[in-house]
Amino acid sequence: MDITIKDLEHSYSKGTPFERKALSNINLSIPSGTFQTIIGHTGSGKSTLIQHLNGLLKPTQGSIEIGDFKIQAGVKEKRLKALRKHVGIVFQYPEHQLFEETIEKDILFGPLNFGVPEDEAKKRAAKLIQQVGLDESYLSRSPFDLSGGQMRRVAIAGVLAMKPSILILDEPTAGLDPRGRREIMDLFYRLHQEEGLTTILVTHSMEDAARFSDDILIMEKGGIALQGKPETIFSNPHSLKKLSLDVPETVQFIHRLEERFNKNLPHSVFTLEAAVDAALSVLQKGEDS
Amino acid sequence: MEELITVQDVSFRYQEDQPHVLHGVSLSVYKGEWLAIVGHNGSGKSTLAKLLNGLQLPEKGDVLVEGYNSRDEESIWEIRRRVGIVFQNPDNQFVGTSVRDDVAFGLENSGMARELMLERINESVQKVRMEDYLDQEPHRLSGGQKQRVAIAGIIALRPSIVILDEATSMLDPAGRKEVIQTMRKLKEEEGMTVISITHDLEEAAQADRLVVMNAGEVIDEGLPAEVFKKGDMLEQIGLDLPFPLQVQRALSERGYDFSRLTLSQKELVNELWTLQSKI
Repeated sequence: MDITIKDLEHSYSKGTPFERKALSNINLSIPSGTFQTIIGHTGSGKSTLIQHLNGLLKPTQGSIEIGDFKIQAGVKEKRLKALRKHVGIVFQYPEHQLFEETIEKDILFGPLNFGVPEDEAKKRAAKLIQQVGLDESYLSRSPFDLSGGQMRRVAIAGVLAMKPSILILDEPTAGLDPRGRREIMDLFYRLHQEEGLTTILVTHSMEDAARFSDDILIMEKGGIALQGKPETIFSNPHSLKKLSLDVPETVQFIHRLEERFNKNLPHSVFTLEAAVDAALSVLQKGEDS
Repeated sequence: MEELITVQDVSFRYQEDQPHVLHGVSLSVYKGEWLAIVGHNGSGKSTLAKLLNGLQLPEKGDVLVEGYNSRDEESIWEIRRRVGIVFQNPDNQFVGTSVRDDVAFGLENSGMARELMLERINESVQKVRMEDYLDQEPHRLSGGQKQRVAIAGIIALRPSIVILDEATSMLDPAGRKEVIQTMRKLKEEEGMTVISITHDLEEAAQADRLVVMNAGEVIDEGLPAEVFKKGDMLEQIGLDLPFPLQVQRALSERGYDFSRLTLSQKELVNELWTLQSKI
């Protein structure tokens, strides 16, 4: 499902003395199957924006089209429930939303609410628990006996159980240790590719943004500050610095090498291996001369 | 160096029928140092933090804070006055109905004079750059903004030891830097002792001392440069080495010899320059 956002504006507490504009003049199109990353400082409007994508917040101006659903300022959309079946959101700290007695019941909650037959839902739960890296024996256990990282996996399985075609991830790795972070991001990227999902990732990690995105959107003060492919966004560290954002470490490293060795190097360097290759190339060029 | 906190052979578990979360942990914290405690999720770091200000009591062993034993009921308030903890999740520590009220909460409880209190609120709110939000309600703030307010609330009380329990993990990179710089300034200017529980090994590399925890035990301790020499051990327990070290290790494996460990990109590029000029 393609997403098209036109002239979106959102004001909190509209028409009261507390009115505060959180988003204005947002125009964005996300073709189906895209890995879209959204970056911005706290308070830049990222979370407000993604809450519009399944109708949790309504625009105060403008419109959002998702497939053949249309959410428009001032118009009541009667099919929000159907829309929410297609758009899964993994909120920050999703483990705080666990509530059932067993992990299986927690994963089943969403699908059963949307009328999926119990047999089918249970099959999904059994498959998903493995996909998120836990084995089937966990299904009968209480989610509250798990570690924080495991609880997060269960909560993610609960969102995936609805088989969304659009998956929205709001800082999904916050607070996890480095290994946990890598495992969760690898899981999302695998799902993105295998299931042909449209993935929208809100993150502070420039490394993740560089590695996974088709397109990066940088928000500031409720508007769009920059947009483009990772190689475009990160080729201009000065425009990012103006927004008090950094380029990924790999790109910083390349810039430092270029400066010190007075050489031009490729800029689309987003993995450790590529950074090591760049270091080798300056060392080996030394050998040639 | 004056020893502020002494942890002596402490074991702890949350319930009697559950396994121990800490096994025989011993540790010293010295006045004015920045001590980083690293370890993966579930290694016992946060439990240790709760023992350091008497939120939990050891099953075995003792925790002493400036001479006060946390087992001694009359000492507990002395300990809590000296050790402030900034927790990971700001939503669980926001008690006021506005930013101003939230920062005031701890000060009011300590019976501070109003004039001084207003001064402290303004000062600490400025240090976390939330001065434009003094009258905002918490639910209108993003997670990162709330966390900055929580930090303001703690530093307003001027404890002698501040524990950051993954307190920056929800902030964006600029916000994170700013909070760390604020804490660093408090340490330099007011002699605050900082214990930072973190996954951020870049930050840990800048600490005065580093403690590594795994499965409820302290498995290593020392200067960051010494601890990071044991790269394989750190990776085995699920921690990521800082980027410059990873590049350096990959190059060492290909036969390049480095004279020293490079903890920053600047050091790494300088080392590469030296290597290239030798070739």
